[in-house]
Amino acid sequence: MSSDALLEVDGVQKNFGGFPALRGVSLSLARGSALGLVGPNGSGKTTLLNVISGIYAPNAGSVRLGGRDVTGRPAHALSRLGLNRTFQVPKPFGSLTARQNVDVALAHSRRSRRKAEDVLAFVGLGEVADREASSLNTAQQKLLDLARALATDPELLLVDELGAGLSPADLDLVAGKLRALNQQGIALLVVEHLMGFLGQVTESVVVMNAGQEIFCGKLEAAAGDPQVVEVFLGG
Amino acid sequence: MRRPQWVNAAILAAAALALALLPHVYGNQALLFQLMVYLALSQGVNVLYGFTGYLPFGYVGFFGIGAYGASLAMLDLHAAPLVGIALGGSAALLLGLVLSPLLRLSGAYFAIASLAASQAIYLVIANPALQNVTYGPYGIQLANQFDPAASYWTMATILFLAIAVVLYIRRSRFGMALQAVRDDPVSAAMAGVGVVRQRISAWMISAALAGAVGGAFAWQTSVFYPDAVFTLSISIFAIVFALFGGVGTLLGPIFGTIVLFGMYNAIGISDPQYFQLIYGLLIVALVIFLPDGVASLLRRRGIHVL
Repeated sequence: MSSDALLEVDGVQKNFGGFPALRGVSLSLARGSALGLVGPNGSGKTTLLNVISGIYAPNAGSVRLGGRDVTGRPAHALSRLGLNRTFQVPKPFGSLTARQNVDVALAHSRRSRRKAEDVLAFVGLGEVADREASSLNTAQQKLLDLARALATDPELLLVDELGAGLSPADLDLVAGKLRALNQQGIALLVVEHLMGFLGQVTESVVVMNAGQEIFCGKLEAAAGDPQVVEVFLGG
Repeated sequence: MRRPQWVNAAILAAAALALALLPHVYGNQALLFQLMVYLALSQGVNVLYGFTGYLPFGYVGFFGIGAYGASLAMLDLHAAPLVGIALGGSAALLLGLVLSPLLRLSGAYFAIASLAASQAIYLVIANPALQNVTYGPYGIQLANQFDPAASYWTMATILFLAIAVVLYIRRSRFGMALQAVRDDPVSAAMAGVGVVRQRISAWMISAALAGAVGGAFAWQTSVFYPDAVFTLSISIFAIVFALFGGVGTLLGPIFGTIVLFGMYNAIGISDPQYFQLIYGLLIVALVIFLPDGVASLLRRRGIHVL
């Protein structure tokens, strides 16, 4: 694996009881790059993000961040090392305001020099900064996840289906934000079902099926790959 | 949640004034003492449950170990009562540290495990074989230590400190992290919060408080059997009082304790059978209609509860 790799996932396996959710997944992400992660429901995308972000420890394999072995490190330690994420189903601190959600991340991050106002304005939540997070709609809560992740000043951002549930206009807006973050040097690993949205953020994808990687390459080439076509269209 | 500093100062001044005036307007000091015990314990439950979501059915274990720690310090080390109470609080703190792995359990498992731990401690202390160390089932007699006025002011001071701690937690970075952990531990970890460490901190604060209250109770009571300071009803009272008023606020548990403890004393002692009926119905109604306590009624109307 190349020395400028920010994230190196090597042979990661994760079982839930007797069910192998990940059967030896490997992928690599260079500093400042962006990679899409696609696959049918249940193919292990979110499980992979959970292993990378320290929420699950893998049964086998390793995760390296910036050359350092971080396999099985707890989430809060990874957050301080510059790895963060959003969630498929948003996970706000419901009883705190949007601003306080971001403040918690700012207060516990050793890296951040950002300001809550700036981060909230960037994701478009400046207007609702003082509302309780539980009163925001799902799209706003997803953006709040993003704001909280950005507050920790990440080098690597894992984005889990940020597009789902957004209106077409918001989709373009959010894709633009992700592109801007990528241009600022934040590496992105983006799980997404919406190919149009993903195509606006990155050209490279990994396709997963049944806990394994079946394709790695350009997004347009994936559409012509027989194995990918079979998984998505059922042969 | 962030309030100007003077609001907190005003609350503390009002609390100090109320505690100073109470014995002059109400004569039954023993009852006042018990009220203060439950006001403090319900704030201890508030710190743990209101800010972390952990329901400590075994909370009485800290109270009991505090009562015994203070008593044994006075009896065996001839410590002054205040030193004894400090040592009782320290004993509870130590117990909290020993039991802190329980916080790796999730909700219901934690509640049951903490209950079991408190009863295990009771059985050790009440064991006749340990009579030389703990005085076993025959209990504690603190000779020549009885001082109702001094023990009242000590308890009032502990209660005052408990209120100050809750006010601090509500507005501090630590308190915000605790609330984040309660709302969503996964997100909190991702935000860089050391989830287990924050929970342990709240647990230890809550333990030390109950231990000090137990120590003050021992001093005030002077003569007690082990079951008096380890009875599960102490946990239940503190939890129900806190839940009735509304956890996560300062005033909720205070309101809950005053109303329900008042009710207990108005009807519970003369007609215990009616009291248990009313109390049982109240708890059922609370769980069904008002799981977040009386404070949530006000909050729903947009009124901020301190």
